[in-house]
Amino acid sequence: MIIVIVAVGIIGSMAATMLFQGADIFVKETNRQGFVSEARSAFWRLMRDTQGQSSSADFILSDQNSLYLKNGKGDLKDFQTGSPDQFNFRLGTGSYNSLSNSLGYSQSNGFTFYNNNFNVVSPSSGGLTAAQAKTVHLSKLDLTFINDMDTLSLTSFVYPHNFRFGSKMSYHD
Amino acid sequence: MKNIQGNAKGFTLIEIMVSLILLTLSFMVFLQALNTGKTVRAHSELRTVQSVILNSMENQIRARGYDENSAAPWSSSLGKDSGETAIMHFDDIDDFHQYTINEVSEHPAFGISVAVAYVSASSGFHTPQSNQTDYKSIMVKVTHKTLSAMTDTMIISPGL
Repeated sequence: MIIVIVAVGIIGSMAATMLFQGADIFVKETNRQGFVSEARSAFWRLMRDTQGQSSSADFILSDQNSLYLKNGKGDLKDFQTGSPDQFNFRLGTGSYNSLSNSLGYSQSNGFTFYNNNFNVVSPSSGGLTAAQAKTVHLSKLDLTFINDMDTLSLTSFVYPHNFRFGSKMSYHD
Repeated sequence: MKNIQGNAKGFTLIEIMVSLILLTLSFMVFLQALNTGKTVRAHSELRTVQSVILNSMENQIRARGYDENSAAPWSSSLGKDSGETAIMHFDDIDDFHQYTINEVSEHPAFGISVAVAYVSASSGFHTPQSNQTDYKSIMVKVTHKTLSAMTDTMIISPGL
């Protein structure tokens, strides 16, 4: 009788430990999956909207933490990274919406701009000036997302589709 | 009275052993399901990184001009020209021909290779042409040490 009780106790505690570890792994995996999905959708949104930039001149005021865009319909969009670990998006002049709360702000290089010769265009204080923005030919998006022990770095150059057709001329206005 | 006591002895060791075996089998199935989920998730994450690298490379290529000559006849040889030692010196699409990176700096498990060829509309853009045409086919391949490679091909003409 005592032997059976002891055996049941040992087996029961082993089963409880295994169940706890299994459930713990499941919860961590689910969280990790959610984190990756969030980072992926946020970065995809950023890439897609940057691809739609209508003219290099519309990069005006952009810098390492801010990206200002205008699509072919004239919709204004801006993306902002900031401390503490915020990655926000705004359409027009409305309020900002969070795309991710998992951005590793200090680990991210943010937004970089290159001219025709593929040299970095360094934004002035307050962002790219009108003259600087017109020289932008290629942009680079570099964001790192962090969640507990998980890190996902996503970096991509973006050459907007419309840039292939040259700059807007005065007669287009 | 004796019968009641006889039935109230509890589980026998054999019953415990059978329960243990059944429990172990069910845990094995459970852990296998967890492991499958983990593998699928890891693959999905790697594919995300792989597609971002591919997209990045394609954008860098698209940012270049069709050819170093501003009009036909286009360059007869594909590949880097003299003095083009780094990617920032590349000024046209075909400079990327045979461009390779064994380990991408941010993600060392991934590598990149690019192949450029002249193609024609009459051959369905599939067959490389020996002469210069108005279309270049750019195949970008992103490899990984354990996953299968991800490949994409772009067709670019002087007007696009």
